[in-house]
Amino acid sequence: MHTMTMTVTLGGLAARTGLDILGHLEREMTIPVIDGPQAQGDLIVIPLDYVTGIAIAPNAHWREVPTTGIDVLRAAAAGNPHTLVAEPGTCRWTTGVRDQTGLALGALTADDVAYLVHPEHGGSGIAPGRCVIRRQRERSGRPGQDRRYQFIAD
Amino acid sequence: MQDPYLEMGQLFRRLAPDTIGTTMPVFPTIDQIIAATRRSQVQVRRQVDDQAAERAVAVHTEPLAASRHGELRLHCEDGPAIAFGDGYGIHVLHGTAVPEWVLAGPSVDLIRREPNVEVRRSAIERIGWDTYIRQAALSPVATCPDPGNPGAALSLYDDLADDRGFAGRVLLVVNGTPEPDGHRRRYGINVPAIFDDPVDAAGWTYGLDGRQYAQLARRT
Repeated sequence: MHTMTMTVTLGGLAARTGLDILGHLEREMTIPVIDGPQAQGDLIVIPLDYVTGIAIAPNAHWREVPTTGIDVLRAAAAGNPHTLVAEPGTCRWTTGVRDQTGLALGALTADDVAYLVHPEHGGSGIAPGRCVIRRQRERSGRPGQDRRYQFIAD
Repeated sequence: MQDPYLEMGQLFRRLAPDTIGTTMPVFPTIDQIIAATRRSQVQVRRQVDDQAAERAVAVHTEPLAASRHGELRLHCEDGPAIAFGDGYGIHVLHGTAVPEWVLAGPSVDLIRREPNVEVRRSAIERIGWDTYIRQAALSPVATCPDPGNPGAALSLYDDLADDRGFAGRVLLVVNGTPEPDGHRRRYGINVPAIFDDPVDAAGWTYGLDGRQYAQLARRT
């Protein structure tokens, strides 16, 4: 696992994509680019070769990630959106993923560095490759519920 | 004469439960409040005619002083931070929309029953984490550094007082990103009782085993 040095700052990324970043986050900070697992609040980015039990469906529909990004988890579902952004033509996203845990939102294939951006958590640099993005869960402690766990929304 | 605030109050009486746990802007517009709900935006928009949306501005907001947060956050401890003509509104603490009980009387029992992790956090912060751990009789199992989150610990507790047959453990975690005033929010995440190692428990929340979670390079 390596942390690469790139020169993309949080402020630069916000300006390029038009995404909102909260004022207190350090905008001059260079965003580390990581080729291992990394968490952003209630989401985690995991390179596919780190996990088992995940398969991309043969008929998965891959969507090109535009400059303005794709909300992998929408604001309406969980407060603030987590947005996947990349240079045009370098990254594709699919929700056609079979995950035994049921936690996967989708998978990305990146030929260049891609970023996951969140207004409160800032930016996460994702090294080129294929990754799955999963939600976080917790045990559901309430009686009478069929599901044994529920998603966390932060 | 019809009171536009009353009209919107009636709408938000229905919408407010869906905003619980979300982050509210300091001076929220109607559109921002609708966007914060977990309802279908199209469905909600159908209930709000454009004219009413234009007229309707929350009648009372009280942003918390900048000195506490370094930036303004909607906050009101005495009643709804966003109030409408009929006195109904949305309660907000440090930017997070919460149910009224979090202001009026946060208790261990209500916190334990609360499914939303942000609401639990807000309520525990009202009581204080140390007091909550003591009152809830959480019993420490193990603690260790959080991989990928320098300076932060993962702490696993037994939730002994769970008397509904749902024995479990609670993993105390620390946010990877500091708040504007520099402190880091803490969260209590419910995990199955099968884990003794905090790293295994943290891994489970993302569908990973402890060995995989231990390779976490960064948390924000």
